[in-house]
Amino acid sequence: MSKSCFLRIVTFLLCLALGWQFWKGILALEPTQIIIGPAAHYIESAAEETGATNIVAAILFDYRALDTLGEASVIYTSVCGIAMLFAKSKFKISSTGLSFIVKRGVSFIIPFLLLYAAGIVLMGHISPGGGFQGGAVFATATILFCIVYGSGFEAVMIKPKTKELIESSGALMFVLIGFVGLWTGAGFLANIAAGYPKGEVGRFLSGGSIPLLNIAVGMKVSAGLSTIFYSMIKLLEFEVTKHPGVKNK
Amino acid sequence: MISLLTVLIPLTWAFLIPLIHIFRKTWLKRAILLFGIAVFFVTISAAISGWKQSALSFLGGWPAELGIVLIVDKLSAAFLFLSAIGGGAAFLASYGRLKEGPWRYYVIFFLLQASMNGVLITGDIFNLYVFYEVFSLAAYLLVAFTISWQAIEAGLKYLVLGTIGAFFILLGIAYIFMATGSLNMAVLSLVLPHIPNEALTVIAASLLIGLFIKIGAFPVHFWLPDAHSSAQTAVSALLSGVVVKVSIYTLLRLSLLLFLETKPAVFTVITVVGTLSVLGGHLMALRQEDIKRLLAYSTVAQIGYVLIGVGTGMAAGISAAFFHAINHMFMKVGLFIAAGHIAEDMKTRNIYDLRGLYHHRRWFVIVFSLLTAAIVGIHPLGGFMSKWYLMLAATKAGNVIPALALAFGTVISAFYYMRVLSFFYSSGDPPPRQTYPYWNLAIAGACALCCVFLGIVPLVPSLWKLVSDIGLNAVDTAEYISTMLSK
Amino acid sequence: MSALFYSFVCFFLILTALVASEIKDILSAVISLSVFSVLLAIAFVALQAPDVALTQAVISSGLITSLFLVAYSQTQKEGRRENDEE
Repeated sequence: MSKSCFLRIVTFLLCLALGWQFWKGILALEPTQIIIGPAAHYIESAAEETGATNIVAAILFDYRALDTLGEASVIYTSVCGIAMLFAKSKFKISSTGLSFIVKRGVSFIIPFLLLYAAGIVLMGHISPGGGFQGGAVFATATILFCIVYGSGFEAVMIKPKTKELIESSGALMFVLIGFVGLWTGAGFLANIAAGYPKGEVGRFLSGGSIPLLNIAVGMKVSAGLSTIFYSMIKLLEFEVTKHPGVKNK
Repeated sequence: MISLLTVLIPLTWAFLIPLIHIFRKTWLKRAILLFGIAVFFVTISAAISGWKQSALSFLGGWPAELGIVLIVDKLSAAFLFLSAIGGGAAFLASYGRLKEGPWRYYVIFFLLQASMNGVLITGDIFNLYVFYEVFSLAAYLLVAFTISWQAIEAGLKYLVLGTIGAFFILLGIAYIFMATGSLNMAVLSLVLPHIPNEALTVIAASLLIGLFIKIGAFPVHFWLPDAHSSAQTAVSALLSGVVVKVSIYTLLRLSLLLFLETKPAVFTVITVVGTLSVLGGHLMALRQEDIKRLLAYSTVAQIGYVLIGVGTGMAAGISAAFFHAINHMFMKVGLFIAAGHIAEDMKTRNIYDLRGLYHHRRWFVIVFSLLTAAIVGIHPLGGFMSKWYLMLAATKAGNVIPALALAFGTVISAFYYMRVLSFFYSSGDPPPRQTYPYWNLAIAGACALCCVFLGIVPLVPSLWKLVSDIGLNAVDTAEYISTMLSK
Repeated sequence: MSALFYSFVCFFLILTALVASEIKDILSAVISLSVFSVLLAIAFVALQAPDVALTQAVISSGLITSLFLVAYSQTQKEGRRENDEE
């Protein structure tokens, strides 16, 4: 036992030393009162140049849109990998649903949850939010379906192939929106320069291609995260006959 | 624009394959083959056009300080060429074995190629990190593809250690952003000399530790033998041949652009780690009985050679390092494909059970011997030339101990490779199996021929000038900066 | 916000992270990780970054916790699972 204690103490001291080195590195930088670098340009002119009042959305989907494509590819890769690793396995006891009161209660909440998710996605360019956050809330709604109604119900309502379709279509939509910019000669994933309408800053219909990219990312993220959850709780055979609307596979 | 297509085209194929699988499953076979060939040609043409003149792509139309810029100069073009050939060979090997059955495998494969090309051509440090993560993730998944317990354990080990490395790289990038406020590598190269020295030490230490974990250099290489030996044949070839080289490119680019004038100690550290990798890799390979693990430890050692070349910090060293990288790619891809095919065919990876292989797998053993001779460094083949130039560059830079370690390591590698060959050529009588796929033999044979060709390259002045141009271009950071900031 | 608030949040961040990595019971560790994520989201809101806070709250304390719990529940049942791997 003392060897593992010794190792723990050594690890703890190593972590402390690492933390001290990083702290020393931070202390060496004197804090600046003015913002330097491209951040200053973003703060001043993001609204006129891109048409979006949410500067974070402008940076994510206009100035540095290739990073967002890369991040969406990370999610795509992990979803594909998880589906590949769990392709042949089915689990016998998954979720069989909760009691009647919970089902009725959740059925009142679900429409508002979906509306909230859609609101986050669509208004990403004027208020905090965007494709990633909204897509994650959509996926949370499907997880709620699984937990409350049973995974059989969820598999019937939204088939796994539909989720694959939505995910790939969202990803392709992102790339195609970027190609429009390439075709008009303004560069890949160009926003206003590629001809997307800028609109009036602060209104709902503004921001050029940013709402479209939000929708594409929202589709991809929601379908992807939902696929991850579903791959881990696939049902082998149906054992419950209590809920209405569930057909045998 | 074509440099952008090297990233976009494999990405689009990766997104299209599930749609084809849902709607028209019968098109899948021809579609995948066509996609792989298209990616190969696009990458080669991007490499050629980037070689002649540095090609810039401003994404979204924003200038270099605000947005992301893709730049292909001679160093990137050379590595793009390497990635195209390595990726193409691995694609052919895996297509030959798996056909179009596992379509998710091809999705992840194309994402791997897209993100490797993205790492090679980007000029923005956070974009580099994003693409690096995509291809690391794809590599973790490809290792675990066969879903045997060994492959999953290897993939898990690779995942955990790779994520720790990525954490350190991200920490370094976060420090850079906190200190300077910008993320474009050319702008950073201009701004970093003005930062206080302790901050630079922290940045350099974080980036180096992260990159060494990802490359698989000696003290932190623990994931590499498991991952490269437990993967499938084509995936091992791809990992050892190409993925490691892309990580070395990242180290090269970051240390040349960011640390050349400000912290030359970085190059000393790289040389020391390279020497340790050479000695450690070769010594560990001596004890191996599993042929794929032996090849994986040999990869660790060869990475050490390339790191010794990078650590000189001079044009000659970098040219020699690239030449050894491309030689090693051909040699390792050929060796892994030959060894992997033999292992799958004879159902064993232990070299004691592979005695007497010469008598019924004649051509495989001949190709294997040729590649072994190349990697040990027998004279007219490519391996000898690249090690010779590495020793010259190391001695010219004043690092005598690495050059001695290099020679010593070559002797050790000769020892364990000859042991494997002695088993192959000895007499034994395992039952001969008559499955004789020409496909893998053809790819391994092509790699062996390329090694022979590469051995002749330094003797032809016009071809050798191409290689030494790479080093000169890599060290010329002023030209990189002026090309990037010219708009 | 005041330094007291920040030091409170930082102290509990470190505490929950230590609990999550050292405790033996996996379920407690997962719940502790979820608390860590919520505290981090609060810290992001205090630092005036609402997009990051929203992402952190939804994904980390919502989805990641549920995925951990699913993985935990699937690996705790022996003998009641039929699948072809391992």
